[in-house]
Amino acid sequence: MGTTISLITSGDTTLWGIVGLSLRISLTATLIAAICAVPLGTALSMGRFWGRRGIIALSSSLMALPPVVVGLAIYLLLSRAGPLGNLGLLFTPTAMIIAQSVLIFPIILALTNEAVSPIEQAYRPLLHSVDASRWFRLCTLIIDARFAIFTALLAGFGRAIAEVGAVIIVGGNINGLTRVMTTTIALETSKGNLELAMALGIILILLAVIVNIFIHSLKSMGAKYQRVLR
Amino acid sequence: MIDLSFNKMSFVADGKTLLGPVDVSIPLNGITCVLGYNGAGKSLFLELCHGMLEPKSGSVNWDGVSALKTRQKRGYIFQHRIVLRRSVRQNIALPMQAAGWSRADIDARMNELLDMARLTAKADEPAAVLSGGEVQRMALVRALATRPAVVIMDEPTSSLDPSATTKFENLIESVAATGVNFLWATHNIAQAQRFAESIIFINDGTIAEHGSAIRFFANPTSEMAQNYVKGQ
Repeated sequence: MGTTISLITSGDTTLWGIVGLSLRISLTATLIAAICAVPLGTALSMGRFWGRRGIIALSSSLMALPPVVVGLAIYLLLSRAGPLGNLGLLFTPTAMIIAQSVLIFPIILALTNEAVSPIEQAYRPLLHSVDASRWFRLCTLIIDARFAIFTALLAGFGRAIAEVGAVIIVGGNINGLTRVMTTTIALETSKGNLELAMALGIILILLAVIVNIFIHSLKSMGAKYQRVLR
Repeated sequence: MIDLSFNKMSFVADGKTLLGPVDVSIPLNGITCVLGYNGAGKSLFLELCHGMLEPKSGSVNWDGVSALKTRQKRGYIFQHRIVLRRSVRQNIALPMQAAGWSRADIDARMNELLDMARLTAKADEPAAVLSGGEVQRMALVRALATRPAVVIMDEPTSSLDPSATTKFENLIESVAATGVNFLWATHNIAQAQRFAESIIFINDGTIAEHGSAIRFFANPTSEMAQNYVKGQ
């Protein structure tokens, strides 16, 4: 245990290099998924079109998408024989970002939709009465659901950083290039190098705790602005 | 004076005619109260007047222009309180932002509106902390933000206590004195007698009577209106 703690506190370049790469990949994937999923999840709450409920149900179902299946699908797309093989992205951090983005996109979409829908229902008459444009409505809802949307992003980030199945398939777990916390833990445990695996496990748990603290803080900040009936 | 006209207008939902056919032109000047029994169609009437609903046939026009295209020229206050998860100031700013006003213009108008609603001290607090009376005063100045000629109100004092109602009524009176016209649905006959210059009486999905408030309360034409005024 002492070796594990000293690995963390001594600033071990291998360990912190892996942590840095993990954070870079997962934060980028969260950002990309958010850019697509937040406006779409909000727009889904605004629209009244045929198939809307089906899309929402599908995105909720895809929240439980098996990571290895996502990894396999991205692998087939990016492999030499695949349609995007000529881009040469397989076994790169970019491929891992793509896999994580695909994996957490439905999570952020469904949670955003769930967070925005009650606000949209409450605001709809007012926004309609002032003849607000669709763009204005979209922005208003995203701004006012921001705390819940941040919670959705943190949930997505939490899933991404803790994910192992997809990134090991498309990243290849190459030392110094695509080796992230989860894949390193899997590899080092199988090799019997438990100190590095435990050090990374502790950091992963700490990250999960920090994310949860953020989620609770955001919830209490959001509650301050929620309507209170008197 | 502003002209509200209905051209063979009717509103149908699920195959049932809920309002109309109405074919009448009503000149509005000052405060016009919309009266009628529960379920008579007052809220539907107001939403059609504001252009929030599209008639199945015919049209609703304000000074000859379709209500559907001129929503930003009117204000609307809902019966149920709608409070954005924002500060009081940001709540009031919404119609001006939706109408594309610049930040400088919004800021210039804001102090006037906050002062009118007596909410200057609470301008930067979340609107969620306001009392019921304060929320409706905020809703009124929000409806007035873009300087509309007409404000439509759907029973704005129905859930307020007497003190909050009086404050709200005083605010309406002072705003009406500046030339703003009000189309005001209320169940409070005494309130309508105190403030209305004219009355629109809705019954069974149509405009049963309209005209001077003094004449309406002294001598309602239809039997339903007579019963309504008597409180029966």
